[in-house]
Amino acid sequence: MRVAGNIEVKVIQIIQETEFVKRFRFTPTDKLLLPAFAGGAHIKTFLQKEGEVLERAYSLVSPPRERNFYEIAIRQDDYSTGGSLYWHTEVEVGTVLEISFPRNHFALSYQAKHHVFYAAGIGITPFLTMAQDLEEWQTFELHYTARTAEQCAFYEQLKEEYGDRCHFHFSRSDKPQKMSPASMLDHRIGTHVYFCGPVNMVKDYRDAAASYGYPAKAIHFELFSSGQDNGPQNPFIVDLIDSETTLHVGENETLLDALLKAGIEAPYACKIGGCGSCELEVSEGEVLHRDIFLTEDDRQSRNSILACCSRAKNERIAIKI
Amino acid sequence: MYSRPVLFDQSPTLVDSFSLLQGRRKLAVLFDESGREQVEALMKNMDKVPTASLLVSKDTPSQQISDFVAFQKMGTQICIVAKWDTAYHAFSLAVDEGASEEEIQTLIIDQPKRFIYCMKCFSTSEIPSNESAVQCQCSAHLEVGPFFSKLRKGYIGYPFIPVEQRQTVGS
Repeated sequence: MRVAGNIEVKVIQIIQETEFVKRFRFTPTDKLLLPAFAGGAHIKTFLQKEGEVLERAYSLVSPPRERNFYEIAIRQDDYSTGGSLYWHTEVEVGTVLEISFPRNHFALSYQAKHHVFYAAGIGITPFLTMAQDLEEWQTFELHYTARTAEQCAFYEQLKEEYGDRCHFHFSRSDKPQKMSPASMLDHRIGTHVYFCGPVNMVKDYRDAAASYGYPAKAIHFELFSSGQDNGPQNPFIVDLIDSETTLHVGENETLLDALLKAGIEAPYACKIGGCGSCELEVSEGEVLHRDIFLTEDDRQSRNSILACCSRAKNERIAIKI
Repeated sequence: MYSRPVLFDQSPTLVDSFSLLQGRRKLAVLFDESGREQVEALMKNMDKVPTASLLVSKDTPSQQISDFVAFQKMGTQICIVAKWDTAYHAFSLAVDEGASEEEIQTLIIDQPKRFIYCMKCFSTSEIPSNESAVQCQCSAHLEVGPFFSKLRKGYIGYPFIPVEQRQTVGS
């Protein structure tokens, strides 16, 4: 039985799902069973690239009950900083890499009476396993937008397995259909909504759901890329109260980067302000919040900062770590 | 963690008067005869959002109440105005249909009932009035604990041995 640490795996199959999306299947090199996981779970992958380690998080897309192999699906990002580009161009059958145990920041709610998934592009990935988890005991529907049917990853599979529970919206087809948050107005009481896609899409849907009267507990989301509108990246000084250290956070780095570089074991997971794992208590100074995790109320009531994306408003801040 | 909402005397859904919560687009009211007056007053003041109501009595089939709740869309605020037993029943059915504590307000016309869960015989019984200790059907003396168990639907009751009053010979 596996208890801790990373798992070494070998890529055994690569499937071209669409022009820009590849599905990678890998098995553990030690032949032991992989850990079980629940719908919506993701893993971190660690690839060796010219002496550095490329660490990226991807949703699992293989069946949750399958423990002999895992699968992930990766879209080659137009703005790739190395991760998706490397996966698409350098990883081949036989490549060995390390992965983390599965984690889940996007779990299904077991209080919901009905589940509705909203996916944009490669944001479909967590919903593949969530739909499989739900299939037997609860109702769901999927709203999925892509440019065209050809660029819609897992289109045929979803149509075949779930039929009329799937609603596809193709923005560049002969008859363009735009996916709209207004469809949330029609969901029955007891519905939980789940969003996965680019930051702006998730923000729009989350805000719309709140304005339609959805309780906060019925709104779930996951991001797959960081926001492009991060604003100025001002440098600042951070005093670490518990460690009695002072660090300088440069213009092109995050507070989390600076902490990790200094050898401080700061908690983190998604690194894009979506999960709250890197939340740290602020003891002095104001915060320029850039995350999507904390609500406006949280920001007022919790004196905290998400180290992966938020910054100090002024020149100096003090945090407890 | 078991967290299915339960109506009890400290439920966050209990209110003295109704207020339409922010963002709610409709008001759906379940009431019994004792709450008719309050409901009529509420409806008069509710001209900004659509409303729906269902009069509930002992003879109302549970399915009818469930269907009434299930028919509502997200963004609906469920209001329950009734005596405790009816409110408890309606609340439970609303939760079964997926309504959360954030979507329900409950106005009790009489007094909320409290229940205690015996840690000795594992049964649940009603706590008379505001007693802080009760005797269970298994004869155990129970102190009413501060923790309400949503699973057991009662306050946890901790058994104790009462200090017996000494009888004076000849008295």
